[in-house]
Amino acid sequence: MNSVFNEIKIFFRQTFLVAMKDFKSMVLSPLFFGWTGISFIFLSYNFPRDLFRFAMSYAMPVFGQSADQGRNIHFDVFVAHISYINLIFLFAVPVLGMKLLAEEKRNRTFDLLMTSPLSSLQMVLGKYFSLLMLLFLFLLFSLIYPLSTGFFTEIPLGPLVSSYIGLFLLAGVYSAVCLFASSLSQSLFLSAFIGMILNIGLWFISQQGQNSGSEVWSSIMDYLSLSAHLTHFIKGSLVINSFVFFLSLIIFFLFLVFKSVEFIRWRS
Amino acid sequence: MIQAKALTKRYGSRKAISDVSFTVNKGEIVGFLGPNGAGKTTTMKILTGYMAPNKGEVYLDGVNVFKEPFTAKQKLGYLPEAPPVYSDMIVEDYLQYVAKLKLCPKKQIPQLVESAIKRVGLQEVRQRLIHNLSKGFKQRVGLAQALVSDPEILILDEPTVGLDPKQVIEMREVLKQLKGQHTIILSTHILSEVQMTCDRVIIINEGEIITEESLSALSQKMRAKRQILLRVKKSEDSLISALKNIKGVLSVSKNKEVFTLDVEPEDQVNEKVAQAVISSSCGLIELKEQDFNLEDVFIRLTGKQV
Repeated sequence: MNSVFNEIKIFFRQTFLVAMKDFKSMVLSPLFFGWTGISFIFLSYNFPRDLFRFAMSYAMPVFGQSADQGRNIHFDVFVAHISYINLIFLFAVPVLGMKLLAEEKRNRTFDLLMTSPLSSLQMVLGKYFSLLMLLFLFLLFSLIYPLSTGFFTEIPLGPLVSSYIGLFLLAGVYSAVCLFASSLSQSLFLSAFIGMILNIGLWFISQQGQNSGSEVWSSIMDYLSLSAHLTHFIKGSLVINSFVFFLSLIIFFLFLVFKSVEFIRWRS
Repeated sequence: MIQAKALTKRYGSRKAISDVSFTVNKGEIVGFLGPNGAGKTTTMKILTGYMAPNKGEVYLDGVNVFKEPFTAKQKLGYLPEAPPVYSDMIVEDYLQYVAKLKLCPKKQIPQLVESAIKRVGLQEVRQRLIHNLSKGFKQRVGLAQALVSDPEILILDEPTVGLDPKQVIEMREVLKQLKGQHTIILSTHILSEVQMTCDRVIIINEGEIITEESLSALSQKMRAKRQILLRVKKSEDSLISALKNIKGVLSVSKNKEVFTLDVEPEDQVNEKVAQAVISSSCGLIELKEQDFNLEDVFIRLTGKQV
């Protein structure tokens, strides 16, 4: 019993060690500063603009509608904010995550990890959590925008929180996909490129279904669509289906990364 | 301490190593010698648990590397061909990270890092970013990384490759100091490196072990046939016959003013050759014994050109 407990402790310690090392390295890199800087300039431009438009339309209702009819700060302002963050993630996560494994292989620091008492699973999870922590930090800061409107008006906290849970799960999927892309080659550029293609592919998969004309195909694609599942969270409903969908995608891609690392160990 | 049993590794249809077996005893420094592409790095990678062999087993201090990787890898320090350093880290932080990665007890880490820094001579750069260090220092940081957990076994893959001559000398000095404190496998393609640091040598070529013997035995084998290089001011044909008449000279070949003599192992031959040149008044400019190099060792041991 004691030895099992000890093994679990070491498992988490090693995973956390790798995660913290990569997290620190990413946070202190100029890439991160550049990315957060540009992203927050983008959000700081768009959020007040959307808020202002919303306030204007609220103050000057369209003919035939009462002032509050069909107006909701969550759907008119926050959802746009969330879609901007999603857009940022689509392109930024592959760039942030490209070095996680590709650079280790290119700089031969991968040798250090492979010859240390560290299992492939610990390595993969450590790398994954480092990127996830980074995105969590970003999401936390981006919450300032919607929360700051609380000074002027009442904000629907429930849907906002559920939207952010959805966004975090989506960030989890992007991270797993990009870690997989990073495990495929030694080239940073190629990793980022593959990551972007996969992310964009996953995001727009539902469009493909809608255009196909077949109802069955369309419903399958709809189930596989990230945007359809995120919509559930944005609407404020925590649907088990969507949780399972996001988590299974994450596990699927992490499994591929794990296999990719193991392949190096066992290839012949 | 290190036991490799019948290791075979294939990459597709190509056999990288075939039936490689050897043992390294505690405290020994063994040179793992072979030309580029002989299978040295593959063997090193299997020994360290980086990759698995298709056949065979590795035991480090009695622990199977692939059945109990966690225990085995704690006994091991590995310096790959390119030092596995993170260029965005400070030397000291990097060594601390490696010590934690190797599961060193938390309380001992500062002391272990300190000792590794001292042993490899990194005091002056301990607070510097690895990115800004010279290649020689990066290599030393790589060695410190292998040493930081104070492992019983050290596996060093080409530790001097790519360094300038001064750095090579410094690196060899550091390696010499490690003697007796660890069991070491030193992989290299430079024979003189083995001569300077190792007790025993394992020679590998085309994925197979050619020989495994002590350095003195190898030297003796090599000295069975010596070669003398002779340069004179003006070459005359009479000198060739004079040299051939000396007892102990087996053959003489001439290329302009340079003569190459195959001679028997006795030392007196050099003296007689010098006398013959002087009395022929051809003007002795240089007389030196040819050092045997790796290529000669291979030709001698395999009968094949490298």
